[in-house]
Amino acid sequence: VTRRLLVIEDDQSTRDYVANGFEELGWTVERHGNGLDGLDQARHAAFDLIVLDRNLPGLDGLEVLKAVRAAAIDTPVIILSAIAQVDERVKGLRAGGDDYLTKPFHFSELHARADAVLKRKAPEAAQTTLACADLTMDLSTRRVARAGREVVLLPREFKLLEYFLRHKEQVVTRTMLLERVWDYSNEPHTGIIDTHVSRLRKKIDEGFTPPLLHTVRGVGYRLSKTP
Amino acid sequence: VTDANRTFLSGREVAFAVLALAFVAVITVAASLFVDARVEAVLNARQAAIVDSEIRYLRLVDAEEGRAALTRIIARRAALPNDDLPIHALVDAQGAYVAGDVDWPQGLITDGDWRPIQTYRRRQGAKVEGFGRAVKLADGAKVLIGRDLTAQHSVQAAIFQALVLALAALFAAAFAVGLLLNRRILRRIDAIALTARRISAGNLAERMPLSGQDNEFERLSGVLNAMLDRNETHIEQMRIVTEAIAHDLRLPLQRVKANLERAQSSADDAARAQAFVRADREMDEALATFNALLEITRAQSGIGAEDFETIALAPIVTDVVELFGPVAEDKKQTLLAELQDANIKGQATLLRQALGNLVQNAIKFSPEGASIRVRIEPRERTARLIVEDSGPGIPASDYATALRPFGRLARDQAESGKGLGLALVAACSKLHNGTLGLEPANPGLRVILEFPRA
Repeated sequence: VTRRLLVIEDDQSTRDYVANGFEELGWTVERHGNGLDGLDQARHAAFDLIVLDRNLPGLDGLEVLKAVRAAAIDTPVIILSAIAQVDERVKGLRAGGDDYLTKPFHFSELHARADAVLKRKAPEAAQTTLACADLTMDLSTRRVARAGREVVLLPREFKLLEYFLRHKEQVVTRTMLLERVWDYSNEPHTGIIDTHVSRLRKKIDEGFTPPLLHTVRGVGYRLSKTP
Repeated sequence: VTDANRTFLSGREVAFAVLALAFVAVITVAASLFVDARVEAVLNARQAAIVDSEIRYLRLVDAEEGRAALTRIIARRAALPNDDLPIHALVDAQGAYVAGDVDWPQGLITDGDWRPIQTYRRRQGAKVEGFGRAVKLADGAKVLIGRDLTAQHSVQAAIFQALVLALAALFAAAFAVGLLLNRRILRRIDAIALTARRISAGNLAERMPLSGQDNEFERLSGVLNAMLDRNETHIEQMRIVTEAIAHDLRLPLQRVKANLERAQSSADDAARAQAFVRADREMDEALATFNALLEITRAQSGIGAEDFETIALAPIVTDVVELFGPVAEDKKQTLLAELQDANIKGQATLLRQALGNLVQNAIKFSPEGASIRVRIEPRERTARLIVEDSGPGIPASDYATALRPFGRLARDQAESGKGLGLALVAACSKLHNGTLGLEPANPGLRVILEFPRA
């Protein structure tokens, strides 16, 4: 099934950057350069994802988002913005955004977030156990085991692994981890995430095959059976 | 017409001044009339009492010593002018003059009551107005003793005239003083306006003129000058930061450019890919610098203070220590938090970032095996957030440089960094009405953030 994306962004080079990226992934993409046309399109056709710029001519991005939500359209929306401040981010999420990405960004970051957002929107049965290959996590007893052997994790490591398990087979970026696992946003300490991930990797991968926690160069990480 | 030419009060101000003066005049006149009436009442009562005793005395003389003695006394009194009792008259039963200095008033009732009197002086024939008591003696003869008000009336007239003159003088003086004050005030306002205009025109070093006197204008000028000082400092800081941004972004951008050029001209695919990756990394570094500067600038200009809330420091310390714990462990350092809690008013995100910078610095600049302690020290009015390391520390003479944006010390040479870490902490502490201090920890460095408690 071909996925459909609506990009509402007034800067043409950014619009093409986003649209071309998704087209290469096999998506069908609609492009719009102003808020009113974009809103019109969002109302009249079904999309799997909307990428929405914050500052738009005609109708401001947040207004478009509010109008979309008011029309009971619950398509996932990722907001793009040049404003990095925390309060602006909160405003964006409150207006009904599913994620907020600050410019400039890498396409890989947007892609990873799009995957996460789509996954979140998919109905998810209340799970009590998460697993990837022979790695298992019991959410009720908070027990983690690899190949039947118990792995002892610190609380934050547990949360980190839980996030990886919930997004297995997906690329997860450092800023996503910082935002979702540490509740930090707009903070410059992303480098520290590597240290935390490598500790977790030691605990779940060392002495086991195959390795599950992979580094995706220049982007982030992926928890997967296959490299 | 510019306001520099305006040396007189506007119509509205004049109207207000006139109204105020008129009010003062009305009050003054009313007060004078009231005082006059009271004085007259007291005087009248006293006069009546004197007249009363005089009449009792004269009746006694008439009864015990006879009419001749009475006549003699009245004649003598009339001959000697007396301010207190200037009206005397004695007539016989038929109404014929016997003694005294005035004619018997027409139709005067002799019942001994205090009554108004109108008659004429016997000697000069001048009109006499006053109050007095008249009584009938045993044989029908009548005696009148009274007080002449003619003199009093002329005194009152003189007082009234003096009052009018005094009021006129008061008005004139008030007007003159007002005019003088008005000119002085306008002169000071004009001086301030002129300076403000020069500052607006770009002369930022200008300050409001000070006269050296202790008055409202001096205080206003003082406050304005303090504000101008602060603004000038801010603008100077902005200039430094802008130049620093330009300088510090130019370097990574230059590297980006170099790598992109290398990628363009490179025939080798692997080398090209590597150049692209490098360019990308340099770009990220430039961006990080840019973001840090933006944060500092925002904090310095007080943005964010409007959504301060009461926050506890302990969770922030726990978070940061948890985040950096593995990094310290990798360097075989111990990172300890001593948790006493205290609440302050602030922004958790910024505080966490500031504390993160301090902990990161401590880890970076301390050798392997060092210990780093993060403490909260609640004090009576303030709360201290202390980061202490057992590293080499920095010389006290370098403290000022360490706190300045882009200030880089000798110890930074070996490490990466833009010299923005402590500058952000400083800006953050300022935004929170706090202070940032450095002191030697012997060995090592102790960084103390002190905030007012919530």
